[in-house]
Amino acid sequence: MTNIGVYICHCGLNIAGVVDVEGVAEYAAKLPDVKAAKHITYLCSDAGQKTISEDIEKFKLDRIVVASCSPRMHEETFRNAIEAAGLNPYLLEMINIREQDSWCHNEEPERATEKAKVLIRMAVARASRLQPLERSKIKAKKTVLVIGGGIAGIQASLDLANTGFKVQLVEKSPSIGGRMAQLDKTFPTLDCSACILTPRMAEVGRHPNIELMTNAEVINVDGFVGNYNVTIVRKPRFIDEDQCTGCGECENVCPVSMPSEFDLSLKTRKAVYRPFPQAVPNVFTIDKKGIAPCRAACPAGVNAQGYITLANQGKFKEAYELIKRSIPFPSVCGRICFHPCESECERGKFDEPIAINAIKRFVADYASRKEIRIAESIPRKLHDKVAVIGSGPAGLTAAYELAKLGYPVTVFESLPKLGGMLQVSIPGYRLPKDVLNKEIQTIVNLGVEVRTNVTIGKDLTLDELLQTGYSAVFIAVGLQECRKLRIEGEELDGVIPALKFLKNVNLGRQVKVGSRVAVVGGGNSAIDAARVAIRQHADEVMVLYRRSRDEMPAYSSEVEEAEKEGVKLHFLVSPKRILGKDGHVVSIECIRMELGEFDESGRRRPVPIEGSEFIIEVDTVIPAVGQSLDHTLLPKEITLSENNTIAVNPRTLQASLPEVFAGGDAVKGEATVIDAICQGKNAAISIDRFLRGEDMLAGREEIISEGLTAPQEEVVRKPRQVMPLLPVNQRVGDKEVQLGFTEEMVMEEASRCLACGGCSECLECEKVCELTGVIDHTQKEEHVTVEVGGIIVAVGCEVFDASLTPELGYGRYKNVISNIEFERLSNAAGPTEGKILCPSTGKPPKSVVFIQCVGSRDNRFCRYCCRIGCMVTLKQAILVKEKMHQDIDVYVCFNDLRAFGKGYEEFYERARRMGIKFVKGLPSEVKGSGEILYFDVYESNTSKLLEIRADLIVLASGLVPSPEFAELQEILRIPRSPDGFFLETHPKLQPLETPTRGIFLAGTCQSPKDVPDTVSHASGAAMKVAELLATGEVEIEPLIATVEDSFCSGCGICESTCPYQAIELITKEGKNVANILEAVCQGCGACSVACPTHAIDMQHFRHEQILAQIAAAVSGGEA
Amino acid sequence: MSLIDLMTMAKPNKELQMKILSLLWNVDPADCFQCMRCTSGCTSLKLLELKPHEVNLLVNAGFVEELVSSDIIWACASCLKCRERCPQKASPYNIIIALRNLAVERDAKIPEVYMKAVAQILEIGFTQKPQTVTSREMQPFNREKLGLPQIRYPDDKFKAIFMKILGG
Repeated sequence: MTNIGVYICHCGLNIAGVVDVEGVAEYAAKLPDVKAAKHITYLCSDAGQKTISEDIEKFKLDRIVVASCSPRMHEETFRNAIEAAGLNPYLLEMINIREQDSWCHNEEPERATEKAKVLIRMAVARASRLQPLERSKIKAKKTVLVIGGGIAGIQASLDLANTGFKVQLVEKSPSIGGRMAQLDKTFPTLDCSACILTPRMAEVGRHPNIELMTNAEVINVDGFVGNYNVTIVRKPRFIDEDQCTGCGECENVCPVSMPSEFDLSLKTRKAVYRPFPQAVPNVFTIDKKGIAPCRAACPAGVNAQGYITLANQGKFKEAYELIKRSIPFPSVCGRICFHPCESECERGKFDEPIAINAIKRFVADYASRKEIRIAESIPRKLHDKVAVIGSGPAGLTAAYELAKLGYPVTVFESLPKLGGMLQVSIPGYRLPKDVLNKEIQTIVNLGVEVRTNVTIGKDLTLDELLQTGYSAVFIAVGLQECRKLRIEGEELDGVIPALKFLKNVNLGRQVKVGSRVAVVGGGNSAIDAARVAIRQHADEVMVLYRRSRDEMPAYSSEVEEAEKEGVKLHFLVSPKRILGKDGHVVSIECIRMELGEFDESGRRRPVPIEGSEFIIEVDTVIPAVGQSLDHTLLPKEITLSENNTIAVNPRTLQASLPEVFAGGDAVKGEATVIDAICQGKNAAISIDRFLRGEDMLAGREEIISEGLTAPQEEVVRKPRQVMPLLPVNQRVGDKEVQLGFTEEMVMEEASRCLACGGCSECLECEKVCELTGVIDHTQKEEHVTVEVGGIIVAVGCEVFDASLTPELGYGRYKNVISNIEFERLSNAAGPTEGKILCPSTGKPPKSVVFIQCVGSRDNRFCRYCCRIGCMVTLKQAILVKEKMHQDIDVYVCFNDLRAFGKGYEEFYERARRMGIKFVKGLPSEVKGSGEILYFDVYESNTSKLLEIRADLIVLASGLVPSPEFAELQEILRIPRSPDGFFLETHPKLQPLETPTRGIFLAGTCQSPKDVPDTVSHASGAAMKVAELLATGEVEIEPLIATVEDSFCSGCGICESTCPYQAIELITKEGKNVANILEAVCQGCGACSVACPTHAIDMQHFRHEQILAQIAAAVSGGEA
Repeated sequence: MSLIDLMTMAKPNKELQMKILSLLWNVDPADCFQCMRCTSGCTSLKLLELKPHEVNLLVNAGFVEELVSSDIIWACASCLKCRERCPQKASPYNIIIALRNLAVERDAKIPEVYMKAVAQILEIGFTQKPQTVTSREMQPFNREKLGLPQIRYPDDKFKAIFMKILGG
């Protein structure tokens, strides 16, 4: 049995004007348990509250029902009132008959009155079942996390720090300052934005209570009010923040230019940069977008972007050093590499890929010409001897890498000269022997022992090698066996396999070439052999290929040159037999082919045409149909793969004997020079680790290209430089055909690079930095956890992208700019040093037009007013008038002009007095003719259609929510309003709070604001956090879930349902039961609904209480 | 009615206004905030003095009668710029079409020039034959000068379909 008092508030006429409060009170008085029912004009007034407390005493009331406004407004007021009168505050039931009744049903007073009665009947039913509850207190951390280092974050941080709170300020960009740092002057006082901002930035930097983390982002928030656990990711800066002095030497030498975000791409910056001179912290940051596609495409990981950018600056020596860091063969690769880097080059998407290979060749030739030697410091002398069998690119690379590590290396070569296929298979006109030998010599010079004319397996066995003190062996013998055509007549005199033919020529042996030569095959060896045959004075050389030109594996440029030199190409032709006379070739019988179905190589399979045989008279036949491994010399213990190459672990290159490694073509089959070099490098790493007993696999996962693309900027078309070639009539012997680029051509070509990777890792910065260890290109991102009591979200917002309104010409005409771009143009530290110049001509404009409401008040984009556009335009228009001569025409096309703040209307007046012309009307579209921009606008006040011509048009772009809000919303679990900004708890009375207790909003992330409003908002948020955490304790509402252990089946459904991780399963008296973490529970009720056994009930919203309310609602009966 | 146009003594006609509103789908003239973008870009403003913002405002105020019986609603060239660029999606174009439909329903007299344009479409596929026009810099331009191909005129099949659409 309870004694209930019901109090109905008139709220002036807000309620009483619609609801018959007297009738409702009479009705309430008759409800069960109701001992007092009154209607009062203003219940929230002192007098009203006093009535309640007097009645509590007089009628011994133990439950109170208040029917008035929203509980959001006054629940706290009445709870305090009844608590003061000696009742537990949770014995109050409050219902809303204003927002939910009188206001929304003001046209139907009778039904509104009826609704009020029902609501009260329900409230009384519930009130009699209310139970007293106690609030609990928990300890709170007196540290505050501020997210965002713009003016809002700066202000909030300083206010809190000065009050004695510890502040953790997290900013995602390299410096604090935010949007305000980009602005020129501020309205309406026209004081310089930087002048008023930078002292505060500096104060943040040195305040003992503020810990500043720039280049960092919050990625997770756990916990609850007073005790939040925040995970912050610190993105690598690649520069030690504590040691960098901000001297800027690194910036001076950095060869990579990128568009400056701070200057909205109106200016470039280096890859190592500081966004602006007053940055806090005053340190540099290296911008790495990732591994450039060219570099990622290189099997040996040669840093193409790096040496291209260095070459662009004429730093050829440095470029050479950078290449040598990855490969020992710059000159060789610069000539004969098949350059996968160029196929991946992003520039190819715009016009043509960069001639990367030609640049490398120039750099290598330059180094050779200038006798540049790299002092290879060998760190230590080691004792484990390593044998390398085969001196091709794989073997020599391994020898080079191992020698650099300090191992004594011996290279065994069966031929008299080093170089393998580079020496014997590649013709001299593609790779001059002196170039090759010079490069080989640099490797030998590292102290590599060379033993030529020694064939392992014949002169010396593998076993013997291992027994004579070699601790590891690398087999890189290549493919020495020429594949046969497998047709009749192949044994005849005059048939010579391509490799044998090229080898003899290259080693200067006697070679007999007839007058009519047929080369069989379509690969590079076939073309090489044909072109060499031409140089050996054959009268006619033809290449017979069984598919068509499109399927030829040979490089198309080589094929073209071969044709120019007189080689005849016969496609869709296959040899059937070679005919001889007296043991010598006289002709070759061929059959014509046609292309059939696609085969497993993705090419169409050639099919012979019956009866199309024909005979070509030849005296020499050169089969060039590939090579295979000559495994006769290998010991049996070395296992072979299915492809008849040496079987190895693909990551470590270890063969079937532990101390034996293998690589190059002998493992990969017919592959390229750069693949062989890559394997040589890998083998060296494995052998080193093997000899030191380390894990050979660790950290050697395949590098996956990140799919990096070129920066989204305007690319001016510029054709690729064309490789100069030796005239055909001068092509004799080993005279090199490709002449190489000149220095000018290289610089021109290198300037086409788009710097996809950002920092090119040329490491020039490391060389100039006076402090060692400050620059660290290997820095990784770091996760930091901090514990805070409250959080202020001050992440700001974005400027509307005006290119979404193409009719206004932004993005199409260079002289149509956005208002934020104007700020940089007008700023003394900006791209024009504060001069207002047309971007297209660099000349001062004679007329400037501002167009208002771009993206704002526009249902296609943002419905809301941006709140800054009008004032920004007034300020910018005044700056134009002030900075330029007075007779410059300045127009402002507007719809409504809003100058609502302190001193703003006066500012508008000032603009009018300066002669700025205001046109009431917005244009439909902006057109351009040459450098002149023009548009029509209907001026509504004069009813005239005007044409306005302008040299410069500034669009008043509005403010829009940042796309990153979505993620932050998830992390912080705070709502957003339909416009996309973060939602405050109450639009008027709680504009700083979020529904998540302990998380507050500051600045433009809540809604667009100008600087004064942002600063006020931020100070308010700081005060709110201080209020919450000042005592070091926070009160927890008892409106949480409770578990009846005897009902709980321990199923765990509630645990997975809880959005706050407030439920855990524990073992109690031998059974699993759900346990509510009181401080974490937000009282949402999701678990209670989900619980299949009704074991979970919500305090203050118990099943019993709610069911009673529902029963009262549907009973429909009189009291 | 509390509103009178003292120049013509006309009063708003709520019934006609509701009729127009019922002909519109997803377009509300009340959204218009008179920014002038429609009229600034109106193709028919300079020669035929069509001011879409005014049409919008008159419908809003209820002065529909004078619009339905006026020639001005037939001036619209249907370029749809006003509809595309209206920041409030109020689309004067849709309102003009609704007014025309109402005019036809009420057997209002359709201006002769408009009917002539319809006849031209039947004849040549366009409201008028390609012409030579001068730019703002007084430069003459025609299709040939702009490198545009010759116009193909419609065949009998087109005419038959066109007549069918017209219900003739």
